Formats: sequence, structure tokens, C-alpha cells
Amino acid sequence: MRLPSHAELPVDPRYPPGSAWGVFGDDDEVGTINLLTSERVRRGAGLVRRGSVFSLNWALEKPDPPILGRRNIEHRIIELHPGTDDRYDSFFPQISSQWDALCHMAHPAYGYYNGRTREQITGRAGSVNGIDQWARRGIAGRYVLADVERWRRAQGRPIEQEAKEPISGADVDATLAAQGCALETGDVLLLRTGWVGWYDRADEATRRRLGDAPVPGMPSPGLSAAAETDAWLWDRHIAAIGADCPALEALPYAESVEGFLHWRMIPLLGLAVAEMLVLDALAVACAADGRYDGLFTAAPLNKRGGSGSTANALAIR
Amino acid sequence: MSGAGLPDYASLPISPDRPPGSAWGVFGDDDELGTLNLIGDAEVLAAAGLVRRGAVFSLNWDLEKPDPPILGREPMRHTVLDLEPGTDDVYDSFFPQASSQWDALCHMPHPVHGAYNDPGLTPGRNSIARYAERGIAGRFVLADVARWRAAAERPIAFDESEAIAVSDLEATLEAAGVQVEPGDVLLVRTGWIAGYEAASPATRRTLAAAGQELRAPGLAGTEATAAWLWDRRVAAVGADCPALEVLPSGPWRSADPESTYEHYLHFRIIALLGMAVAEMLWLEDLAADCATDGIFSGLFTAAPLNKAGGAGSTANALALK
Repeated sequence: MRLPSHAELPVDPRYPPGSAWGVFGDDDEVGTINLLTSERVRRGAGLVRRGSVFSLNWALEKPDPPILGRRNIEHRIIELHPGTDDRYDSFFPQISSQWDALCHMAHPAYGYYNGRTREQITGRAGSVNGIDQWARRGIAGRYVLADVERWRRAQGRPIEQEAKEPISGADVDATLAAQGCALETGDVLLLRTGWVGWYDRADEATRRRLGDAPVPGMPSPGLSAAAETDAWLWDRHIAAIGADCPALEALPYAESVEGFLHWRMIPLLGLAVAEMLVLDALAVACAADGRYDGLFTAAPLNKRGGSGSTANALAIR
Repeated sequence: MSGAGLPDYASLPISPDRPPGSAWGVFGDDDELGTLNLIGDAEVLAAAGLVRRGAVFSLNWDLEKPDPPILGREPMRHTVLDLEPGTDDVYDSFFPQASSQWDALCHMPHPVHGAYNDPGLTPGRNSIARYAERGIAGRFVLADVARWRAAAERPIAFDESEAIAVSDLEATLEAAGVQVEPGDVLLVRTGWIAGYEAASPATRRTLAAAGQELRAPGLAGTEATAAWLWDRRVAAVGADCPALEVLPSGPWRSADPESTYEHYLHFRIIALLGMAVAEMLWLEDLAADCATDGIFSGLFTAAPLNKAGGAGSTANALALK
């Protein structure tokens, strides 16, 4: 299919400005993941050159203390005599490495992707825009890693991890150009800011400070929420974007449509967003041989109407 | 690591101070990955080359099935939270092994010998986090025993204790024209989930009420099964049935403890052989596709939950062809 450019959106005047509603059909609940066609899966699989496997999934207990107002997972080990089972309570699927489902975010005025409403999000039969839409499909395709942290360091402007460091689409383009790796339609773009690795090395006092910061979040790097980011994200025609920072976008966000990219990229563009992925080991491997693409696979939890999921993602190269 | 140079089952254990029928020490005394060690870069690379059409199959059943839960678990509680605008969610009473799942090597220690490489059951050892940190990827082979048995006019009943013998596995694979290679992920379809999906709510409640007395098909819990899996250098084995092996799993909970461990495949392959086991995988779409194109292998990937000390995980598995 020929995708419209961001300037051509919406494809019908009855849809909100700047929205991709209707591009994949009026009833679509899948969004940009639709771009992961069988051809894209083959493309990704064909990029496996060594057979190295990288888990992109942070420890489920991290960050600890939790950030953005969530609570710790309560893990009980149940004795089976012999053997053990697990039970989780207070388990937020978005507590660590995660996917945001299309029902996670709504535009304050226009609502959820493709015009869905809050009443349609029930977690029961018929619940819309849920994570199960991607889970049943499975996610697989070509990833491209944009190691912005490394590029910024090479520029002599290292990313400061406890500051609202907005990264522009142009920064990502420059990173990719320096890496010699171009984006293709249907890619999974992995954006490395260095935040997760920095957090792993941070001391207790720092982690407490981050955990204490309420929504809209502690200062941290990520994509700029400027309006031009929307066009950049859409016009690259990526199937998904995943970052190693807490919210993909720089924090703290401003509680306004202009100041919060989540209120546009998810409900208006139907973009699949992953956060707090572990990307450091992958980045080291990519820098070592200069190859920044490979096969990405992810199997989100098959929860009917789920608002998000653990990432359950691998990079294979 | 390839299967070459690995001792055969008949040669186990590699030293007399290790339990009979165990692979303890084969991958090192401190090893916590067991047979996943059989999948090296070469195996992953070759498996990626099997992706021909770019077809993706999620092997993950509905997170809330079976409903009601079987084997004594409790239903999960899902709460949708208002973000105004937007939603978040939280799970309570969530059992990672309630649906499509992995068993960690710490999940089922042998009652006498203990857990894989760990007779003392060290807390945190052999947890699912080991699998999660590594990631699981490799070649899968589908043994659609349900379809083969149906074609042979010996259909498997999903609600009976049908022990599937090695001979059925071999015949299924031969009919499919596919062989198990070292480092493979063997997927076995018994038809249990298909039977469950077709069952009435009343039947599903009966299955839940049976608790540990649930009758279900699966691999025979014999030494022959364990030896066959080990000697074929299977890295992981997964099935669509609740326990991989036939249920109830033999009289091992009976009054005579000495005679009963022999019936439970979990003790043999998890605790003693360090084999990765997955259960209640959604194999219906994959099996239908394999039956259509006659190709019963491809790339398998799974990313178990990275939970410290976890005894298991949701399966988080895909098959690509």
C-alpha cells in the first residue's frame, strides 16, 4: 500500500487533523504494526548474520523503586511439595520494559485511535485497541538501532541522564547517517539514550530520587515533544519505536497536547511504542561490527483489552 | 555448543556421585541453563534461514484461559485504571503458569535428588531469569501427533489420560518428513487446546474442579521418553497440553514414595536433565499451516519474563516460517 505522508493526513476530513485514522481501515485496532508484513519479516530474518541473541527485557523488578507512580510487583512463591509456583499481585505490565497498547493513551479532545471511546475499553470480551491485537499477531521484523547516546558522545555533547534532554528526529537521522544504516518502511526503530544502563549503575539515593518524582516524571532523555516529531515519526513509516528510556519522550512532559507526545503519537498515529528496553549489550555488538540492523521479535502478553504489556522482545543478529 | 561429544542417556550420569539419569555437570557444575546450552549461534543462524514466507505464529493462548483455571490455580484479576485521558492496567492473583508457559529449572526439583545441579535448592538458583537473560531462539520442529493419530484412526481424546509413546512421536515425525536435530525446540501437538476450545462451559468447569486429578493427554512419563529427548539433543520441548506429560502423572503422590518418582516426566527431564519445558502453547494456527505447506520446521523465539527467583513464566513465544 502507498502510505500518505504526514502532510497528507488525515485521509478523510472527518478524521482529526494530523491523525492516521482510516489509513489501515476504519475498524483497525492494530495501527502501525500493520506495516509488519510477511515481506518485512523475511527482510528481518535475512539480516541474522551471526546467530547472536539479545534479550531486550530488563529485570521485572526494575526500576526499583518504581517510577511514574506505579507500585512494586508482589511476588509470592508457592510451595507445591515438591516444587514451587509463582503468584504475582500488584503486577503492572508497564512496570519495566514494556509496550504501550493503543488503548493506553487517548487524545484529550479526540479520544482513542480510530475514534474508540473509554467505554469500549473494558478488559473483557469486545474490549478495543488492546494489547491482544498485537499479541495474537506476533511482532517480528527488521530492527534498526539508532545509538543516539554514542553519537552524542562522539559529538562531544554527551546526554545528561537526569535532565530533560529532548532528542529530535534530525538527531536520530544524523545518528543513522553516521552509522551508515538507513530506515526502511516497516522497521522497528530502537532508540538508545543510555538511560537503562545509567540506571543500573546509579546509586540508591539516585534511584530513590527518581522513584519519588511523581507524574509527569523525573527529568530524563527522550524524543522531543515538538510538533515536528509527529511528522518525522509518521514519515519514516516505522512499524514501531522502542527506546531504553522511561517514556520514549523526554520527561517531565507538559500536560498539554503540545507538550505530551504520547497524546498524539499513540491515539492519532496508531504508533506502537516500547519503553525501558535493554539496549546496551546490543549497542556494543553493533558498534563492534558496524551493523545496526537485524531481526526483532516480540510476543506481548495476550491479554484481552490490555493497556500494555511486558516487552517480551529479542534482537537477533 | 553442539550436541557432538555429549554423553548419551545410557552413559549418564557423568560421575557416580551424581543422580542416576541426570545430566548434572555435563554443562558445568554451576550451569543453570541446562539443555538451552545446546543452542549456539550456529543453530540460531541456521534457524533464521528457515524463515521463507515471513509468516508469524503467536504461540500464546489467551492469557485468561483456561477459564476457570486448572490444576488448582486461581483466576487473575485485571483492573483497568483511568489515566484521564488514557488507561493503565494492573494484574492481581496472576499466575505466570496459568496459561501458555515455561517451567523454570527450579519449578520441579526431584523429591530425593533436588534441583538441576543444585541438590540443596539454593534460593534464586535455576530461576526463570536465567532463561530470560539469554533469550530463547532456535529451530522448531512440530510433531503434530494429534493429526497423525487422527489420520491413523486412533484419535487422541483431550479429556483422557492418553500417554503418548516415543513410537508415536517418531511415526509422526517420519510421516511429516522432518527430523529432530541437536538444539531443536520440539513442539508437540496433542490436541488438548483444540478440545478445550470446543468444550462447553460446563465441561470447562468440570476440568477445573478435577484439580490435580485432571485427565489429559501428554508424553508418557517413562525413562524411554526422557532418553529419547536427551539423545536427540532437544534443547526445549513444548506442548499444547497442560503438563507436557500425561495427567494425572502417575501415582507419585501415593503412599509408597519409593516407587512413584519414576512416573513423573517433570522429575526426569527438568530436575535431572535440565531440560526447558513449555506447556499449553497455542499450536492450532501453526499446525494448520504446517499441514497445508508440508513444512514442519522454522524459527522459534521466546522471551520469558525476567523475574528474579521466578519458577516459571508466560511463554512469550513465536514461530516464524
